[in-house]
Amino acid sequence: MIEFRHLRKEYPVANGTLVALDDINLSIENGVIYGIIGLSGAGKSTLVRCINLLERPTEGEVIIDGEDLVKASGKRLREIRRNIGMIFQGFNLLEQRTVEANVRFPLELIKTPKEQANRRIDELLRLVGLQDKAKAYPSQLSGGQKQRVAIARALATGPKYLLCDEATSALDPNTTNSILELLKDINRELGVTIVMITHEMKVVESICSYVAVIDKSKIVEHGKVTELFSCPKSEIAKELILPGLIRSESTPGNKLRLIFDGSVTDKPLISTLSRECGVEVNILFADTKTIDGKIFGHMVIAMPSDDRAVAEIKTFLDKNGVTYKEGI
Amino acid sequence: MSELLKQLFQSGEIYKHAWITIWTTLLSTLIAYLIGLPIGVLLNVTDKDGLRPCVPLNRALGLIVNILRSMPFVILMVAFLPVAKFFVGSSTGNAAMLVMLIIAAAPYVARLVESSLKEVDRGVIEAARSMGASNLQIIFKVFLPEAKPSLIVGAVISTVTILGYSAMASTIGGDGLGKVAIIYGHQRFNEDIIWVCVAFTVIIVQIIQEVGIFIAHKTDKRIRKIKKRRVL
Ligand SMILES: Nc1ncnc2c1ncn2[C@@H]1O[C@H](COP(=O)(O)OP(=O)(O)OP(=O)(O)O)[C@@H](O)[C@H]1O
Ligand SMILES: [Mg+2]
Repeated sequence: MIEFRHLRKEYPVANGTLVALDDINLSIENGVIYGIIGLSGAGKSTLVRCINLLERPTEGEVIIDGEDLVKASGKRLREIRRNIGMIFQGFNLLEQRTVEANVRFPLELIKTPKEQANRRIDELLRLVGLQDKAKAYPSQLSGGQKQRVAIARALATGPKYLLCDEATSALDPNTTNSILELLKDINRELGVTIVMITHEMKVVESICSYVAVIDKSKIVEHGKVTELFSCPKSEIAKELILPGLIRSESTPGNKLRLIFDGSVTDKPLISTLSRECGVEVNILFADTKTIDGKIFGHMVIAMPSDDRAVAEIKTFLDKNGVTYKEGI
Repeated sequence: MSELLKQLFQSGEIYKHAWITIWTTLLSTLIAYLIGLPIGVLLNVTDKDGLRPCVPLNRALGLIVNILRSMPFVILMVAFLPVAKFFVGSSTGNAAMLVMLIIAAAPYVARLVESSLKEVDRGVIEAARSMGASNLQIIFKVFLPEAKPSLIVGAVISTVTILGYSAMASTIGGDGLGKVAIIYGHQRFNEDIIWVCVAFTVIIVQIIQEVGIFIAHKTDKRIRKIKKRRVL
């Protein structure tokens, strides 16, 4: 388990100090994929870098499996780091080493016998689907392939935790999805606890089960992703879930947000709704996708002014098991 | 063609001096690299955002390097005569010249190494740290191998610079093309001898550069390889 207790990080800047993290308290249970989301400059990278003490907190404790890293010696800290893999937005591969030699790097650090290392590298390259690229250099790979190498390298020493700092932000949507799928598999099959830093709600939505929202150096809310998604409390969470334009007064009238968490199967819901309730439904926003025949995502529809029609719509939604929220 | 030039060619004297220029240059660069490399690494590592910041040490080293770097070679030679005497027992001749070249080149190499290491992506260093690498492991497994092409280019630049210095070493009685050009050429009014020395020097510099850059390119595994322009 990863725990932060009263974590504070200050940076000295030209005109005083900049507080990058302010009184962070958070627990990340083993086995989960935990998202940390926030806007640029919120302090996400600083927070994740405190987990393996790449950044030393100004105050507070970082506790991993009961041990406070802040108090650990240099040698002990390096040992602990081998149990915490990390991947980055910029991949950070060694450019003068082949794919294979990059994955070998963390094994070299702990002087793993050659035979054993070779076997491990094979295993890892198979896991990330890059056996055929073993002898290639990073400059010969695509972004997605580079991130796969970085993942293989991060997992080489068999860590229990994997930290991802905007790991998919430099990738196109398709590649992003394939990397997210890989991370999901790693979590499920190897039981690795994953901490995902991102500024995209989509990423959190598609693979995280828990999430913390960080804004201006503070955690403003945290909990299950489904809860945050169906009823975000903080302004910033609402903003991350729905673009401001749709929430603003520029589209007048009552609105209803329909939330699909996979409990509804794919069917022409809106046209059925129109027909059964005899109302025209105006869709203001939709961001849904179908996975294995189940709908995920959300949709904002304009409500008719007629109270009776509204009641009918709600009855229809209840009957079909759709979660909804009024006034967004 | 002057008589003296003919004689120089016939007796093989000119080749002997060209050869001396080559080996004094290469040998002093090699030794200067052995001294300058660790100093350059130290300069990088102890920098305020280096691996292991140590500002006083960094400042002190930087100051020594800067003083030596800013001394014109001719003045440096005169100033360090006692040092040559201490090391090789004489303040003139080829051995003294080697000492001077090393004293002049080592700080130069140190700065070049420092700047080569600065080019290594901080993200990669960060990644190595996240994998539990110690500072020594980062220096030997990340900094030096990742900066290799740039370090080779640095070595080429230093070799060419030292070749230039070695021409001045005739002032303290060092042999080489510089001596031929000044003593036989300039002082005895044989302009053609000067130009022959120039030609030899140009050829030697070209060979060093081409071979060096070829090796640097060959070792570089990136697509956007290290640029040749940096040397010229
Ligand atoms: N080494 C540093 N020195 C000074 N200030 C820093 C340093 N690193 C980060 N900061 C500041 O701390 C704040 C938080 O930075 P951080 O990198 O954690 O943001 P982030 O949430 O990861 O943003 P992004 O999404 O843009 O990566 C920013 O205001 C940043 O300018
Ligand atoms: Mg960041």
